[in-house]
Amino acid sequence: MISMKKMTKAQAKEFVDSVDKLSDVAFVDLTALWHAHSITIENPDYEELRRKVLDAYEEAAATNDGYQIDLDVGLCLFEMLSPEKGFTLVMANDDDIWRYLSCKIFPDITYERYPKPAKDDIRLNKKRFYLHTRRIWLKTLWWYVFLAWQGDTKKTRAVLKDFGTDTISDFIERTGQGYRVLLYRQLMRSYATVENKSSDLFNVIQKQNLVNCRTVEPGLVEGAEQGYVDSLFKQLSVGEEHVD
Amino acid sequence: MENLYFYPTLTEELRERAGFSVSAFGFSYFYDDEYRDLKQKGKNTVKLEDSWESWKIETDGLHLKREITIEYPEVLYGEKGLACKGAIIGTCIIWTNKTLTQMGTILPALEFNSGAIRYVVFEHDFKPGEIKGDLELETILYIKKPAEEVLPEEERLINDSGVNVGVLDVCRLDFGSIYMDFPIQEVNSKQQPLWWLEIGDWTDPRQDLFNEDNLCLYLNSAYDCCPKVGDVIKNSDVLIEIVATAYTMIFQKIMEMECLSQTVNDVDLEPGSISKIMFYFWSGCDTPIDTSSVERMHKTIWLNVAAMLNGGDEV
Repeated sequence: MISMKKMTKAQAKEFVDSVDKLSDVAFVDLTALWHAHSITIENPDYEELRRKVLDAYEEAAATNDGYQIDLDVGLCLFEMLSPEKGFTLVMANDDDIWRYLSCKIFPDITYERYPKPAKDDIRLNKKRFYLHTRRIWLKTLWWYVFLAWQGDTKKTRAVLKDFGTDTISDFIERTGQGYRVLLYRQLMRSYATVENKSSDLFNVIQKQNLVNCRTVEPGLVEGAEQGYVDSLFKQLSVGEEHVD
Repeated sequence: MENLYFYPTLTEELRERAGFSVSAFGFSYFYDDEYRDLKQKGKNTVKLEDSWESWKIETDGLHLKREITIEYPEVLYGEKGLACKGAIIGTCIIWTNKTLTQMGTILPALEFNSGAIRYVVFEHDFKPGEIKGDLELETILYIKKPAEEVLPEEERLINDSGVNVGVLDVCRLDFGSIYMDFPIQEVNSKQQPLWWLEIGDWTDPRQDLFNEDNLCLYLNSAYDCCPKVGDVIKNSDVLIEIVATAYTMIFQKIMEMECLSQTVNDVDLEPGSISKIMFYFWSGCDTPIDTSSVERMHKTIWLNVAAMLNGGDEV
């Protein structure tokens, strides 16, 4: 397991500011290096992680499909930084670890995935690099995969393959009191079998789930999480085509 | 907002009639092939202390244990109880770790009857790296198995599995002290004040994290009355004044940024954000905070901070 380095918000801001302050020519040179994925890693501990994630990214980028990139990078990142390998939830929740990864190890792919600056940004998309805890790109991908994890990469990919980028934000940002991990994993497993998936439908399911959870604890229902999700879908008439 | 229930839930009277005996939680951690007990301090919010001074929740995890005895469980069933006669009521602990936005359930490790008396034992390990910052443990009764037949006089009772039918108690643990929730820096300079709060350049308190990047409380140990020197906490009266005033300043800033309503109603708040932490504070206050003027706000915040820091003792 890599000894994870950290970068504070102030240091990450400094990094983004330094890129923002570059002359146009220097910025073009920098992005050319990034497009060529030519990055100097100061810490050799990260070389394997970078190589594997970059391979996953490059293969997915060829499809030009944003969700495919998110899914493949997320799965690879989670495989490399899994709780079993010592990357604990405390670490996964530490923005400073993700800031280091975004700014020092993967600035190229973070930039390529979000090349357009958001409102109030100059060149780099601050939110995706370091600013907002639920928007740091690599962090959201790790949590997305963690919350949908089906035991191995193949099964998780099979469940997540037909979803979209909206699902990631819908999933990560609607926490309620907290993530019920087993429920989320079952929810994704069941939702994967629904034919007409849409962001609206997923939102309806999530909202009704939050309402239900005020009185019902899904893990305590007969049939546990699966029994609960079945009755939630029935309550909303989701997927008459839903097959167990 | 408190939940409204349209079915009977546990009342004090029913709790007494059922003869509930709920032990305090025992907390410990595993070290060198044995469990080392952690001492509990405080009432409203419990803080844990390790006499070996080596325990940290992030790296050592936490072991908990509690026992519950129900002398007359039969009174929980039927028309005047919580569940239908043919149903089964279960006991469970719901845990919430706000810092990591996680929650889950702990089911009994052991359940048995001796005569009519029911014994329930909970034992659970939070592994190192699994939780951080805080922990809420809500011990509840729920419908474990619904009745196959609902008698006419039982129609007002809930008969759906997984439904919460009563809270036995809620235990809140804080793995720092309440004021340690504040990012704190110690200084030692007679040329500086006893304390001050530095508020950063917030973009949006609903998203900016409650950490040193955005605010920091400075305590100056050059003064004898400084409430914290190294790890030693003293002069709790001064600490209450400082924390109450700091909270007031933060709420003022949130009001200036027109985010008060969303903050106190938990609308679109990022986990760990300044507004989210203020929401936790707000919702944990026994005395409602009066925001009609700064001085009233300060006074009502003071009452709550004093109650929290004194661990429920009279202030």
